[in-house]
Parts: sequence; structure tokens; C-alpha cells
Amino acid sequence: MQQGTLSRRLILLTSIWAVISIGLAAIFLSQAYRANAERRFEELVTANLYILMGAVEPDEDGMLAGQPDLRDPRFLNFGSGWYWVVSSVSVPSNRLASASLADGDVALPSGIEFDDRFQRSWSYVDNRGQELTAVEARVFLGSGSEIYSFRATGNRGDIAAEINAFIRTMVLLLAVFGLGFILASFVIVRIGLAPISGATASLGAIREGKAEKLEGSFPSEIQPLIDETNALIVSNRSIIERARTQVGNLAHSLKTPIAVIRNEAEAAPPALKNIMLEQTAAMQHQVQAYLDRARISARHATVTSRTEAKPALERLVRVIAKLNPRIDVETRFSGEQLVFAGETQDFEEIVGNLLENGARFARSRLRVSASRQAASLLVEIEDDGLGMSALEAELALKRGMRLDESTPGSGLGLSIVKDIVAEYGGDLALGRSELGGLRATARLPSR
Amino acid sequence: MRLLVVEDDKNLNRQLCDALTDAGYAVDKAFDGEEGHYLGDTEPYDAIVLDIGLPRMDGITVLERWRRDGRSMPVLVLTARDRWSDKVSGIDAGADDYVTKPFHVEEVLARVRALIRRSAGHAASTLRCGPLELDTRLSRVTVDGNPVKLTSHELRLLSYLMHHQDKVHSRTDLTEHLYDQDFDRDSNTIEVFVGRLRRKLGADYIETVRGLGYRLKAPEPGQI
Repeated sequence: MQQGTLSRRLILLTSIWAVISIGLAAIFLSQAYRANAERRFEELVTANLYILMGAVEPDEDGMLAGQPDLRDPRFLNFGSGWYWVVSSVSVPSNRLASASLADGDVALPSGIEFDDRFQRSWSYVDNRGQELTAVEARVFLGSGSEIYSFRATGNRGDIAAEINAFIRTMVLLLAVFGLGFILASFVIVRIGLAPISGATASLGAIREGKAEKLEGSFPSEIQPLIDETNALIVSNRSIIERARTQVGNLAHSLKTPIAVIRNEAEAAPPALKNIMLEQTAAMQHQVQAYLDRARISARHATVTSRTEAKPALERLVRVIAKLNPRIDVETRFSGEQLVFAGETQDFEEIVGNLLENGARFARSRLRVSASRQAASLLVEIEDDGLGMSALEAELALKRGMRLDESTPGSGLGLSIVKDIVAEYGGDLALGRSELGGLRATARLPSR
Repeated sequence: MRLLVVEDDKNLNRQLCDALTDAGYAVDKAFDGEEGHYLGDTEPYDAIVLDIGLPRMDGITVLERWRRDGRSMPVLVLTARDRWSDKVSGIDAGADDYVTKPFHVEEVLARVRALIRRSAGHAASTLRCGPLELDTRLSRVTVDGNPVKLTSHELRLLSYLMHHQDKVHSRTDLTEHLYDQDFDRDSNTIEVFVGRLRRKLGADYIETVRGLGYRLKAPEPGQI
């Protein structure tokens, strides 16, 4: 039982239990009912015999006489299987019989002994094919020495019909009960296991970065599991964080030796210089790639956070203005609630790189605008430089492409921005600004 | 022009110092934050190249202390961290520019040149004083478009005077800005270099202000 759900297991087990227990109950109940019915049937037949014995006497002529009233119409109904007959053992013609028997007889069996009260009982099939139970008692009547045989029968078919009717009703009721039980167990399992589906949904939210830990209260049986899971998540996160920090430190610490080798290469003989520059460029590329990867995976793990766009933009504009004193930076904020639904560092990375790019190409003006549009935050950076053609814009968004090799920069700026924006489900568009140069528009989530 | 390089990596420190010295600057060096802070606090540097990841005291702290104590020399920060949050914290601490590692020494040279020029209030890379021109990028001096050959010491003195035109500089002041810490300072050497510059450029550019020092100013048109 490894596959399948817990609820399927529980429902299957309770269903099997319900079928077995209800089946057994049906067998026991019908058997008990049958035994009871048969006992009552035999008692009835014997009781009829006794009434008969009390109601029939020989008259002065020795002929049997009496009006036994057995209070059962079946003794009047011919061939009903419910018969009685009283006869003298020595003179079988001296006899009295029920209307149901008329001229027929209750045949005596052979080989069945009388008990100590001179009674015996047996079953037989009459000439109508009915299964009957017969009881016979032999007694002396009056003061004579004549022995009389009293016989009464009952139709077993009647109790069989009664028992069958009982079993039909019982099976119907038990089936309804069983189905109800299975249905109820289904509901119970659903309700009982609901906290587990809750925890599953919660874990899914963590994987998707919508939650940091399993939230909410859980039943005490699974609370320890929840607590352990939360502790595991925390320790896992700190391990990842540590690993990421170490990768970052390693990558950053490699930058100084790379710089040293590169600068040393300038003075080396041409062949050596080429190899050194080539190899250090490859090293630098690797370092940058790992740093970028660490950044992007860090972003996956982060939870929805919010960044106030205005102070962050002002901070970045201050930096850009200080680094580029010849450029006049203008800011335009329209509307309240300028919020970026994400990490401050990522917002700085997006806007900072766009600003740096703008400042690189601007002649004297740079404009930063932020506004809200539906559920998005729009950040626009415009410059009064030469701008880009559609083809140049497409190339600029490709990783590692640099359109202008003469101005300093890593060559990763715009493509990094595009990657980060895409991570947040936003988009980056390049167009022409009314200032004359490039207009970069980042559409970012805002909640 | 006198500079300070604070960088703990010995090789990188040497490379920076060599390149800056070759470019005509007097350069002091420090290998940790405390030493760097002390030098920057006590010597009159024209610009400082400061690494962020330093032993003993990190670069950001060094920078914040200088600024808190009113030291306003331009500072170029070297950092391996290239995230914007790192740049913002560097600039907020008082840096004037930053270069991310790994870099070409030429890039540091260009940034330092621009910082010194900017802090002296010059926008263009070519400084002018009448017909006298100094291209700071090429370290080339011309008078009326004719190149003038100068030795590195002469160039250093002229460059400093051209960055700070119309100001009077005492000999001590000039010595402090033109020679590094270890130089055997003899203020008479300033007189020697002023004399040589006057011979090469013409006598009217450098004026002697009696009892105070020297001043660079454009000569009256009639004097040329």
C-alpha cells in the first residue's frame, strides 16, 4: 500500500470493514431469526397438539368426539399443510380430523422412537409437495385401556416465507446503513485530512515564493510535523544563504587578482599578453556568470516584499547626479502609492543600470518618471543623447552586447535589467524620448 | 598633484602607484584602513584612490570618518561589489566616483584625472590659461598650439598651478602637493622648477607674490 492517497487508504479500509461487519451482522441476525422462528413454529405445533389433547374425548360409545378450537383458520383451509388428526391406535377408523385434512391422513413414520412422554416429531412431504413438521403423542383417554394417537402438523413453507421476508428487509436496511457509513467515512476523511491539504497548499506557496513558512494553526497531531518542516525550511534557507554568500565572496575576491594579472599583462611580451588577457577575460566572464546566477536564484527564494519607489529613485538619482555633475537630472513622480512589489536591491539594480546607461549617452539631460498604471509601476528613464534604432535596441537587450565600445561599462547593463524585470513578470521597452534620445520603460509589478 | 592609494593587495597597489607616478602624480600608498585613514586625515591630497575591502578598517568607514572630520578631497572608490546597493552606500558615505574590479589601470587614471579637474572646478579635460593649454588626458602642453617639452617634475608643477589658477600658493603648499611622503623636501627645488618653467613658457605666466608664493595667471595681451 505505497501508492494512492491517504484518504483512499482510509476510505478503502473503512469500506472493507463496513462490508465485512455488515455482512457478518446479516448472517448472525438471519441465523438467530431463523432459529427463533423455528423454535416458535415447533412450540406452536406442540401447543396445538396439547389443545387438541384437552379438547377431544371418547363418548359413551367409545367414539372420539369434541370440538377443538385451535383459533387458526389454516386448519379449516383444505390442504393448507396445517392439519390435526386424532385416532384410536387399535381402530384407525375411530378418528377425528381437521377440515384442512378432510379424508387425508398424517402418515406415521417408521423408525422414529417416542420419547419418555410418548411424544415424537418428524418432518415429511405431503402429497401436495409441502414440507411439513408433525408432532404425535400417544395417550390413554378416560378410564379405558384404549390408546389414542394425537397428531398435529404445521407447514414449514410458512416460516420459510416469513424468514425470507425478514432477510429481505434486513439486507435492505443494512445496505442503506453500509452505504451511509461509507459516505460518512468519505466525508470524515475529507474533513479529518483537510489540515494536510492545507499544509500541502502552504508548502506549494513556499515553493512558489508566496510564503516564507507554513502558516496557520494545525491539529496537535500534525503540528510537530509543521514545526519540523518550518525549522527545516529555515535551516535550508540559511544553508543556501551561506553558500550564496560564499560564492559571492569567492567571486568578488577573484576580481582583485584578475585586475592585477590583467594590468601586468599590459607590460608582457605580445604572445604572453594575449594569452593573459584572453584567460583573465574568461575568468572574469565566469565570475560574473556565477554572481548573476546567485542573484537570480536568490530572487527565486525571496518572498513578496515591497519597495517604496520614490525614496529609492531619489537615492539613485542622487548617486547618478553626483557621478555625472554635467548632467541635469529631472524627476517626475505622478500619483501616490508608487510601490514596487519586490526587493529593494532588485529595484536599485533595474533603475540604477537604466540610469547609468542613460547618463552614459545623455548630452546634458536625464529624466526619470514614475507613475502607476493599473497594477503596474512604470519607471521611465529618458536621455537627450542620440537614441537607438529598433535594431540597436534589440541588440542592446542581448547579453554581453555593447553598442558603444568607447564609453565605459560592463556591457551587461540593459540585458541584466531585462532579466531582472522578466523575473518579476514585467517588461522592458526601448523607444524614442521627446528629449531626443533613448527612452527605457520598465513595467514592474505593483501591489 | 599628490595622491594617496589605499589598497591592501600589494600587487594592485604597486600597479596603481606605478601608473599614477608615470602619469606625473606624486603618490603615497597605504595597505590597510587605519594607515590610509591616518594619511588622508593628515596630508593634503588632491585625490584618493580607496579600496572598500580593507583590513583593520573598511573603506566605507575610512571615508565616513574623513567626511565627518571635514576632509573634502575627491575620493575614487575601488570595489569588487558591483550591485547598486553597494554603489549607493559608497556614494552616500562620501565617494565621488567608483570603479568596479577588475579594471584597467587606465580607467582609474581617467577617473582620477576627471575627479581632480572637477574638484578644481574645470569641466573640460583641456585646461587653458591664455595661449597656454594643458591636455590633462595626454599630459601635453602647448603655447599657441606649439608643443612645449617638459620634464615630469615641471609638468607636475604646471599642472597643479593650472588646476588652481589665480590662487597664490606658498612654497610649502606646493611642496606638499607635488612630492610624496618619502621625498626629501627642499623648498628651493620649487624655485628651480619655477625658473625652468618661466624659461620654457615665457616669464609672464607665473607671478611671484612677494612673501606669499606663486600664482599662475594669463598674461595681459600686450605683454605677449
